[in-house]
Amino acid sequence: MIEYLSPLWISLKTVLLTTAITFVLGIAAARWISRYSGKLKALIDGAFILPLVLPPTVVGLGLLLLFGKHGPIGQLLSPLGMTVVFSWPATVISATVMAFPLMYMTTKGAFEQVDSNIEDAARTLGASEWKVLRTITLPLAWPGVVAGSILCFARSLGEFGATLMLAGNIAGKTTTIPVAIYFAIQAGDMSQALYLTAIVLFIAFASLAALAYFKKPGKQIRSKSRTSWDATSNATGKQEGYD
Amino acid sequence: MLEVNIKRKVPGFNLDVTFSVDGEMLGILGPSGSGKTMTLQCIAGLLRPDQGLIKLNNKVLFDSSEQVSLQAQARKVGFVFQNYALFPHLSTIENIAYGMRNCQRQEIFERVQTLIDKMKLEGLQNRYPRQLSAGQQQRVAIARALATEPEVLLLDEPFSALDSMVKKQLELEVMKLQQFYSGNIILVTHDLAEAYRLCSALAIYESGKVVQFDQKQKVISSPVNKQVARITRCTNFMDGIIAEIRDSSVWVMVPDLGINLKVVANDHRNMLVNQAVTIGVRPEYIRIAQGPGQNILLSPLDSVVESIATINCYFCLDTVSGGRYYLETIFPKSDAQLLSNGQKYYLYLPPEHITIISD
Amino acid sequence: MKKILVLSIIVLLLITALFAGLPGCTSKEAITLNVSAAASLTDALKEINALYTTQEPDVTITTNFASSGTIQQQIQNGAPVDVFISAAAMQMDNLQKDQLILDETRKNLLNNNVVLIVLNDSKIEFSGFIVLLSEEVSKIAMGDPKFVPAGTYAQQALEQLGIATQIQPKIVLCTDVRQILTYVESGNVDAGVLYSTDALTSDKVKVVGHAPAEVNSKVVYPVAVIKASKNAGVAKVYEDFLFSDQAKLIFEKYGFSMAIK
Repeated sequence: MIEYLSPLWISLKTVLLTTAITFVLGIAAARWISRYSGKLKALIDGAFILPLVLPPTVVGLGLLLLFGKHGPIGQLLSPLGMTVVFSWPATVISATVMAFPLMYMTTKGAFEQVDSNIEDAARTLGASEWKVLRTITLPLAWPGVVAGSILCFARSLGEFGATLMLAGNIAGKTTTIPVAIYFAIQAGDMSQALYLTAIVLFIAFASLAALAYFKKPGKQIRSKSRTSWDATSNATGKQEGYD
Repeated sequence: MLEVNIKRKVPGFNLDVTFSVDGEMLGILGPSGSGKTMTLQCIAGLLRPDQGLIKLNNKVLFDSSEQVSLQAQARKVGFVFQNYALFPHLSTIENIAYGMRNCQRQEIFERVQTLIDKMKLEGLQNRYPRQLSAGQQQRVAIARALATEPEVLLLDEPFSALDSMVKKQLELEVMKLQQFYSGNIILVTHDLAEAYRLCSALAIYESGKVVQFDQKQKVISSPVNKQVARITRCTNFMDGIIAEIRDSSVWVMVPDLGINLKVVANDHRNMLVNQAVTIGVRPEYIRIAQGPGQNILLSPLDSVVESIATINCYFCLDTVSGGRYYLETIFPKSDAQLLSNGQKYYLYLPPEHITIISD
Repeated sequence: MKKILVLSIIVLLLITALFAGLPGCTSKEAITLNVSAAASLTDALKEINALYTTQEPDVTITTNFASSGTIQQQIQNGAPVDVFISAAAMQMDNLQKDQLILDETRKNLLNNNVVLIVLNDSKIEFSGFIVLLSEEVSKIAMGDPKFVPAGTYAQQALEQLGIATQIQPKIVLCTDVRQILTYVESGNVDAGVLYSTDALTSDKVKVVGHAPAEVNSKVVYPVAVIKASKNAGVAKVYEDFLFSDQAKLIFEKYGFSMAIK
């Protein structure tokens, strides 16, 4: 039984953390690139999307070269006692890098759909960039942002190529479900492979259902507005039938 | 007081404007694409000019020589967009109260209530923009801009999307704005009549430049060039030469029509005899006379266009050079029953209503 | 448009017919043998096969080098293999259980040794497998015991030495021997466990430990002729050649030792 629980637990930890990180990074990157008008815009945009078009093993190799013993980041971290290669954080790093372009592209598209006049109006009303993002852009782009998160979740759940290269297969530490499935197939253990596949399918469907429920736009914003202003309409005695 | 002196260049367009507003309503009038909205965006801080100075009540909003450019958030500028740009996910009162940060709840409540009163939005507090008519949305947009107590209010073609009934009502509202809003107001429009009705000063825009900036009466009575004259509907241009300057009258010889017109010009200091000038006559001031005399042209009536309350008449004269010249007049309908095509009429061009257009 | 479509189909059919006819015209005498062997035998077998072909010119040998587990699955799924050399007994046992081999042709061909390797300039002092317990060693690369032959025996070696459970968290599982070497060479793991013949293929690593003799003696490379082979006779002759002195010389050149009978 441990053989099924361990990959499940590791995958869950990895995927949840990855989705949280890409949620923040994706929104930040999409926001930043839409406000940036320098000459390097196309180049940076391409760099953000790159992991999407490269084979995962190529990305994994790149990460390995970056974080490995002789890589720039690896050499920075090793005097601090931190090794990324073949550690659990490596699963999060590889999943994040592979899933980020999906969140970035979807969010960027959603942001572009928001009328820029509306954001400008908020600015003239004194809203800081952060307030504009929080109270205007995100609520209006919410369905797209949620769609991006779902894609991210699914992608990181199934992430294999880059993970195998950077995090390797260490039982109980970095063996995510996809890695476990691969090694099970290599060993000819079809029952374990299928069992793990069933778990992945279950998680995927359960999360899709949950996120579809939360996808309704501006749900939180609307419910907040009621209480403080009911006094106004009551005072005039006019209550229209709307909302 | 708002002072604006900015330049901004984009491929194919060059904005270079200077004007100021001092506690009044300024109308920026010009055709589409002449840079009116760009100017407003520069004042609000949504666009950055290449060089220049924008000063609002002695506070510098933009100064290219000092590398100062305040963020839009820091300028106390109220902006009413052409398409209202209301926040679709917020109710009316949430829209209006949006810009009021650092205020006590009580203060917010009171100010919003006041604006709802003044902009006649009673009963619509909890509605969302999609549940409001265009006129109502516009009122909310204005209320929202005023809620932050801005030092200048910018209205970008606020009536362009409204039908005429609603437009009239809203114009009245905007005129009354000045009763409770003491800041500067800039109204951008392509409609001369609207600008004249609502504003005290006018800045005429053409291809990114201010061709004339003056009190409205002066713009109408003394257009600075043919462009402005056309925009202010002062037509009936004639090319002439100054024949004589005597007292406060200037005599202009129009060779092509073979006539010597007397023009009352209060400011003829810069005029010289034999100077070439262009003159214009507003159609509404030309009258029918009984017989020949000074400033009277015998003109055959060519065509008539009937509007609801007026009649536009086009008279066709033969010029000395062998061409044709059309004179346009506007008569109130009550005066016009006696006109028939082909007939010749004596048209009187009153000297005090002939404009010398400096060019 | 329709005409071009019809024309292309006719041309395609002609080409197919042309190629379909070809295999038929081979000379009666030439025979092709498919030899599938564990990847670690690549270099040795290439030389042996070349030698065999000069001696038996009528026989063409096609080789398939892969992991023993992969070949086992291929044979189980009907791949046309004539001779199979596995890097461990397990895969051959599986085929024998499924009655896919000619039992009388199964023999142990080679022996190998499980060794511990590190980078040539490794800073850790290694006196054998026991050093794997030290805190200085944080990661060890090993084949997955479930399907990598070297991994299976490596696991047995660790259990024999009694250190298996303690070093378990440090083990990075690999799918093949090449991966183990890459990990050790890149410095991302501190040590690796594989066959001595594999270690020889890299000049960046050195051997610092040997598995206990009891384990190493069990490391055999069995060979057998597949039952479904269409050239069983020729296959048997080839198999016998593998045990010849000439073949022995080549095997030993690459670090293998002939199996003890």
